[in-house]
Amino acid sequence: MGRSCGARAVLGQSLAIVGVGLTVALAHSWVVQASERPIRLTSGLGARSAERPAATRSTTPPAPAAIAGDSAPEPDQATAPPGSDPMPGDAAQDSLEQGLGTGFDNGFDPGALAFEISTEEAHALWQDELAMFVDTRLHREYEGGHIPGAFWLPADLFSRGRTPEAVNFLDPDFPVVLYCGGGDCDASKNTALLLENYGFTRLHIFTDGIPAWIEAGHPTEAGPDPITGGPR
Amino acid sequence: MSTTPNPRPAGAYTGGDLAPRSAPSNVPGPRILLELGVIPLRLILGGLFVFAGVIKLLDPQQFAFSVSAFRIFPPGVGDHLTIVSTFAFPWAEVILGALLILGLWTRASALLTTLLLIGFIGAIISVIARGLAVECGCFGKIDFICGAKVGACTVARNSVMLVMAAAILAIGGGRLSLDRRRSPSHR
Repeated sequence: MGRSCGARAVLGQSLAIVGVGLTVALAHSWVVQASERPIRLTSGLGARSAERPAATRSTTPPAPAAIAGDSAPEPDQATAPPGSDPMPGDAAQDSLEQGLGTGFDNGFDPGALAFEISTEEAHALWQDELAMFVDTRLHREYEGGHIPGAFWLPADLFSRGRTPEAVNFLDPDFPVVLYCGGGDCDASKNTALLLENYGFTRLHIFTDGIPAWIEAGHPTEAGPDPITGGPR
Repeated sequence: MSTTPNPRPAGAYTGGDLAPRSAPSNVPGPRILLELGVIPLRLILGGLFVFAGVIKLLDPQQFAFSVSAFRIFPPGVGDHLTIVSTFAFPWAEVILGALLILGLWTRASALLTTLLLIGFIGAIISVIARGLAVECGCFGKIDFICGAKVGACTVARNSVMLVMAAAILAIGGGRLSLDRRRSPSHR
């Protein structure tokens, strides 16, 4: 009798805890989803990139090498120092015009790329410097080998509303190719989703990621992230 | 003033030295040891749960990525369930952790903690079985004992916590718990 009474009390208390927890969670969820920065998921990703006008699809060569060996890039290159506008005014227009020529000279039209791109397309963009590359894996994986010139920008660098320094080195008007470990890895899509909040619309996911890049015999470089030096 | 009735007549034989008597001892009984031993279990498990929950609540977007990466929910309703889970799991952890620390409704909290951990372990095993490379997000960016990616170590870590929760469920709140203050006979 006493034992069954105790079990009934435990069950009642459990239901009360579940009820309170769910109520608080739903209220919190409602507040966040009604706010300016609701939770977003990757299922709707890429729609904005696909909607961009064809006239602005061409690109300009990025200068990832400027950051690869030196944390203070030249101001007249495609990258900009942290805290400043990535590509203000005339420089952006000049780059765009340059890009128009570069993009179509070899018959490769980067503006026609789908949201998700193949290894060959990623390599063509990298070789002709038509896009900036972003590695979204763990830093130790990036350190072990990444696409030369790629920035290290995993989604967790954006945690609690922070703006990672690498964002200041990217230009929202240039194509940005994001990759991770291939397969089912979501890291590149997560970073792409967060970059959309900064006005990046020309985002591409290199779906097969670094394993396919290495398998295809394309070059990689090792070493820590030149901007942050790694996780802090 | 109440008096306790004594059914024995005065001078009646009380057993004297011949009566079996438990030896007086300062050694605490096993029940007391259990009730003292459950205190660190409550504090450690409760503290871990509160910590893990608060970290997730501070950055729900990152935790939503982690929940989504597990690919547990079916397409269609998946996004809604992912968003609800993004808030429900951390709040459950905070509430259950706080109740375990306080020793309030301890058995109910331990029961729900046990069920939650069984769910977590099941989800992790399912991810491993499907060969997904998923970052746990269990303690945010902090690699507590195990690395960022889910694997056997994550299962083992959660299993240890499961054993702790099951022990609290079996023993109850023990000493220094609000349950004990509310009802001294409460076990």
